[in-house]
Amino acid sequence: MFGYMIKRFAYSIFTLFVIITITFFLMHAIPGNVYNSEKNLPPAIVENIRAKYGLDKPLSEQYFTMLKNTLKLDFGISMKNRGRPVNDIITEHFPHSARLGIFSITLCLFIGIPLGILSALKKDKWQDRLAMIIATLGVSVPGFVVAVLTQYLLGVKLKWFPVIGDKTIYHLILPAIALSFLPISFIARLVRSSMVEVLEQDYIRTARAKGLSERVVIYKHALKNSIMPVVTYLGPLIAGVLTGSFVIESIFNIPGLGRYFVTSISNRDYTVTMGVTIFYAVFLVLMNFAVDVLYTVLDPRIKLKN
Amino acid sequence: MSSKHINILEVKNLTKYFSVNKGLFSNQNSVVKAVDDVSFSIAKGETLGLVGESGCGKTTAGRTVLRLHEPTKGQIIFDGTDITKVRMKPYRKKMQMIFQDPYASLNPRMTVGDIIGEPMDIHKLAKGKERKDRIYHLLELVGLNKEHANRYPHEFSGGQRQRVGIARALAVQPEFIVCDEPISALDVSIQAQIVNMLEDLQNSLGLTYLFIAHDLSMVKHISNRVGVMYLGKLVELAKSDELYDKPAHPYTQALLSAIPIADPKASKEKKRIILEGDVPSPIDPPSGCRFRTRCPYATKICAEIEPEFKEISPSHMCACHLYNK
Repeated sequence: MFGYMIKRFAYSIFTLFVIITITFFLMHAIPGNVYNSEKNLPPAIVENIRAKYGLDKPLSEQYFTMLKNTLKLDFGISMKNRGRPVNDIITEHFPHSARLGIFSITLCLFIGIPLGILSALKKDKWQDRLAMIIATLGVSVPGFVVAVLTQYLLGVKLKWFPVIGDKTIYHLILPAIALSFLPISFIARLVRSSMVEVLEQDYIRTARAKGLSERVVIYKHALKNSIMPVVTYLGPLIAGVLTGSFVIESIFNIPGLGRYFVTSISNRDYTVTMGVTIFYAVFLVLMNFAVDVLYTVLDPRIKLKN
Repeated sequence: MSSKHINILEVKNLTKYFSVNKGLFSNQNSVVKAVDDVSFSIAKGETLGLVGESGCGKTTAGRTVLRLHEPTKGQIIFDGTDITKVRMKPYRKKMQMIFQDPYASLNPRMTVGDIIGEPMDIHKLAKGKERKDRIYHLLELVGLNKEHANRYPHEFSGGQRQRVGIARALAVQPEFIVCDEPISALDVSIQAQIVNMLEDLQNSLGLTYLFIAHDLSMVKHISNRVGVMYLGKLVELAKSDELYDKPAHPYTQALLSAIPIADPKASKEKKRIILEGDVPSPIDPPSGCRFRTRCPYATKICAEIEPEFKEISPSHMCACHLYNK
């Protein structure tokens, strides 16, 4: 196990290195510059800006400077936001995204999994049909439509929840619904299909023959054997949801990290793009590692080998 | 049937129908008559063999007896109590099952120790050290050792897994065990070991078996009496020697003629009865006697009236019009 962790860590570092390299050269390959969007600047000012951010140096030199700074966990200063350090942007905006994300993930698990179980147990009955209609809607209706609909119906018309912001847990309900509707539906489908299969297995009959109650048969024997696909899906989902969604955060006016993904690219704000990408990549790598460890807990047939 | 023993299990007119949906756009449901009006009883300490082709309903019968399927009709009487409608939990302690496929019937996520220990927890039979000791004892009883308790099913061979399945069934100290083709998924060399072990366990623990199989020579070896099933019906039931020496039903005769003999000379002389055609669908079984479509002796009456399942000689039951005169 320890040997595996070391090896896995080395792989992760390598993965991150590749991601950083590709991102760096891709973003510099996009035409345009951080000062391009402004009105025609005098060449002297442009020279000044280029010198300030080191953009006048050859690309290879910029690359190695960036790598060195990244090792020191220093992502530099935003080129667009008047000297704000990228680290500050992340520490200030990530908590907003994370709070909404944790709430959404909780919804996903506590609604998606039971919905899938219900569907599997009531296979081909009306409960199953209804749950699957909802799940199909969830997969096919885009998040921003759900966001605007819930804002209008539950926020404006019924006045149950506040429409924008993320001050209290009540503020988070509508964006969390919009953000988790798709994953809920997806998880419900995953659980349903694997549970239907597991429920037909012989060892479920064995469990019943032991005299176990139906609850124990389902939660201890069946669910543990059918949760695997959900765990696989959960790794990238958690990373994605925690680091924020541009669309949902814009609609609900939540100052999360999500919008920096998008705006930094259109602004050619190289340092922010780099910092946010690395942050997301580290998250993803960690989550995938957690998923692999969780596999071995859930399925003794899987061993982590060196 | 005259029996001196007290019957541990009596099954009366047991019937199990499954409804099948015909297709995506059809609301028509048809019914598979998996077990149809089957009656038998098993005395304490006895082994009743149940044989028949694949799909004849013997496994369904075994499961329905334990109420792993809910019976459509009929009565199951265990030790004098009607258990057809009761809550099964207290009876799961007394009636157990050994399953056919040792590869599929053990939960892959649980250690062997937990698989065997779980029934003890549920029925509050043992805790802590006692529980552990009993698991070890059971493992040794079925020819495994206690180091195996911490392993998972996939680390075992088929024969070993079946031993785990047997230890699991024995964990609650049952009186009656349905053995559902316990050896058919195993290598021939392992089959004899398992059957001998089942016999030893029966003698030392005083168990009663309902032994379901399609291997006729194995059934003869282990059973006191043997029942033959065809298309959901019991067609013949007799002491095993009697059944093998003087088979009454044409189907039993055909089945027995298919047993290979180890002596080539005798084998040449033996006449094999070859049945024509396939087993009819249990969705729409033939009228009258269900075997008539393949029976070499079928007459007009066979298509019209269903033969009664009755005694043709002492303790020899058979359902055939040939013995109706």
